[in-house]
Amino acid sequence: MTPPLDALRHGLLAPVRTVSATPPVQLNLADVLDGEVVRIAGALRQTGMFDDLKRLILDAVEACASPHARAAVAADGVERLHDHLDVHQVLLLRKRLATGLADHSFALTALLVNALRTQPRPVYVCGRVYVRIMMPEDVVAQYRAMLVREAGFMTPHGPHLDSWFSQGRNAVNLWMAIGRVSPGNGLLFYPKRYGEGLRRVGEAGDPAQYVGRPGGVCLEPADTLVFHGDHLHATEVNITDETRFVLTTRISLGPPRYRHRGTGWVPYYDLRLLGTPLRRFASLRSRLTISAARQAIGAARRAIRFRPGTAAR
Amino acid sequence: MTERRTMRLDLRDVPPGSIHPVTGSVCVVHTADGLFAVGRRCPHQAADLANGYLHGGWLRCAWHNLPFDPRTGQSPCRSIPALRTYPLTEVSPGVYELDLG
Repeated sequence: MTPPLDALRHGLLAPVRTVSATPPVQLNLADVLDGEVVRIAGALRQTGMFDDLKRLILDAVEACASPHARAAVAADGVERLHDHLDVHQVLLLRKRLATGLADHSFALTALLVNALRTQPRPVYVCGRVYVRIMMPEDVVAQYRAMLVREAGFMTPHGPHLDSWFSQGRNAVNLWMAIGRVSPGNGLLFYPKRYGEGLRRVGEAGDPAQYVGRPGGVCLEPADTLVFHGDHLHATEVNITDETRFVLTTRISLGPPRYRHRGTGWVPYYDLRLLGTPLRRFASLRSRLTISAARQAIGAARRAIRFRPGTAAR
Repeated sequence: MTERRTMRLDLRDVPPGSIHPVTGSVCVVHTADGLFAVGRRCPHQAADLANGYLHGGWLRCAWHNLPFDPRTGQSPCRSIPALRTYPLTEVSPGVYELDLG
């Protein structure tokens, strides 16, 4: 007899502390860097952004698919996105939203961060919003080749630390649920101790190693999950029949401390300087790092290599 | 005629709820319904299922939490190929013969 499917809906859960979104939100980012995972219940609604974000998403659905698809997604929820858009349209939607949300990223992050209680160090913000749309595995499986560059965005990313690629070691993820997140389509956390000493190739871990037993998370629409980017985590293969739709951004407690052998680099901005005449200097601390210099040298090399007229030589 | 490869395994020390690698490519899973032998390589991204865990009767790959039925090797995701399963026969109490085909 097949094991009960109910056991999959009630999988192991990671320890998550839930706090109210009413300011000041009782969350200390230093505790998050120490391994605490916190769910701010209804954070997007409390900040007044949720309806605007949903409207922006529905506008993008209409642009990428049709007015009919917009009405259907509005009625059924983003959890049924895969019923109304095909994989090509969802890829287009993800890219369109990533561009469209770029203009709102600082405002979005600032609203969330300013709702927190006073933090022990200044907060730096990444200024990028990532759109992660995980459709059921059986829907996307045949498109894996097309989605090869979408790991973590439309296809599952294995256990990793964010500092393996472009993030600081003190980065904190703000993982904002637009639709429901449940065991079977969410995010996996591993015991934090397994994050150190893992073998990896580029941005991916070696899948032959032991990483401990993962726990999943449950989120309602508008919740925000807060966790350390270097808490070993992975995407859960979506075995449910719902699409998991989240937006994410990152902040940093204190100036970002990049790993010397990260595969990339992104700037972080001092939140205190944004919106002031000193805003031009807001990202200075992250630009005066070895990682930033390495990224600039790499970009210069690529520009020289691909300069018209020199590539063939 | 090709000869079948078999292996004699003493599994008395494998507690219920555990996964025990027995070769480089096969592991034995001890569920509430008995012992089952399956391939160790997850068909999704080649993680080692001997590093996985058992929950609610499902063998879960720790890499992306994919579940498999240890008896049939099937995943609830139809697009994921089934794990290879191997016949395991008890020949004396706690001692099994693994048929590697």
